[in-house]
Amino acid sequence: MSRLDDAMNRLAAEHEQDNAPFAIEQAVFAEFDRVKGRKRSRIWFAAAGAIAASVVGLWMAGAWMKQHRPVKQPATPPAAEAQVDAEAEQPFVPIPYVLPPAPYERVEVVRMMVPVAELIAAGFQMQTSDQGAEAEADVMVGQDGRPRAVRLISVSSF
Amino acid sequence: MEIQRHQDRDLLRRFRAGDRDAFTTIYRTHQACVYRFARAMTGDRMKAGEVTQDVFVWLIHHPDGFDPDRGELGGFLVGVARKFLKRRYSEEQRWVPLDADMPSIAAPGTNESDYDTERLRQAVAALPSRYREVVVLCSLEGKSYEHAAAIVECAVGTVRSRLHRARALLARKLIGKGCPV
Repeated sequence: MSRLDDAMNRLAAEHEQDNAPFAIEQAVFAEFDRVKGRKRSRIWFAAAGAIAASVVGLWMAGAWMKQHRPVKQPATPPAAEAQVDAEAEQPFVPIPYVLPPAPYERVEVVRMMVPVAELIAAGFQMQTSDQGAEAEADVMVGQDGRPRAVRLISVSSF
Repeated sequence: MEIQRHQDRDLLRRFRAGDRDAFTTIYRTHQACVYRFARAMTGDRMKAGEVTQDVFVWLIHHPDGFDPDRGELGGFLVGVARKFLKRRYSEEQRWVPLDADMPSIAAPGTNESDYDTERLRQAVAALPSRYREVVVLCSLEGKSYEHAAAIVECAVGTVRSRLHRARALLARKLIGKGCPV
């Protein structure tokens, strides 16, 4: 074995004893803890952010739905429905001596209180003792503004 | 070799999951070879400590940087240390000169034990880095030529020739041209 080999072996034996100082280990572990702690806090921040975003989203969706919810109509009682059906089934009675509306003519139906005396004057047969009474009726008005037909609503009161 | 790789894989999996004990095992298993390599390359304990710290901090920040299928973690970390050292050299343009006035410590024919290991260390540190690497890995760390070739990223034949050349340089610097390599 040459002298160089011998010296190299002794250097290698000495070299084998070398270890990094403890301060290096402490610094490395401190960095490990810092990085892992940061990752953990990042995860917590992300989770908190996601929860907050979900809450805000739900709140906004609720507010939007509240604004755009269709207005619920009050339920029509069955008796009223029956009454409406009965009204629809009542025919319009042409006012005597007035021309009926032409097929192309656009008409309007106006609900109003009509004096019973006017109805009697127009030729309707009304049985009432009170000459000042009024009857609720749908009046069909032609394009010229003249009434063409009448449908009595409060028929039962007479 | 396979067992070592299996252990490395298991440790890395736990380390990547944030297991401090796994990282402690990795550090305590591999810190010595990284530190020794850095110390032999720099000839300076403080710089070797800094490089060792840089290597493990790099590992903390790049837990996926090592692929266990491509080799051993120890060799990989020494390779990382080598790259840090290269960067240091290029940044500092540092070169460790062998003192020109340093007398030969052993004349031909003197006792072999007269070799001053500290001076040999300095002589190793003064070698060009391509020679120093193979001396440190093969002669001081006892790694095989194949392993050293993987770390310094060159062919096995290159490692052999560099080692031969490095030993000739060391012999010439320390005891003169007459020293048998």
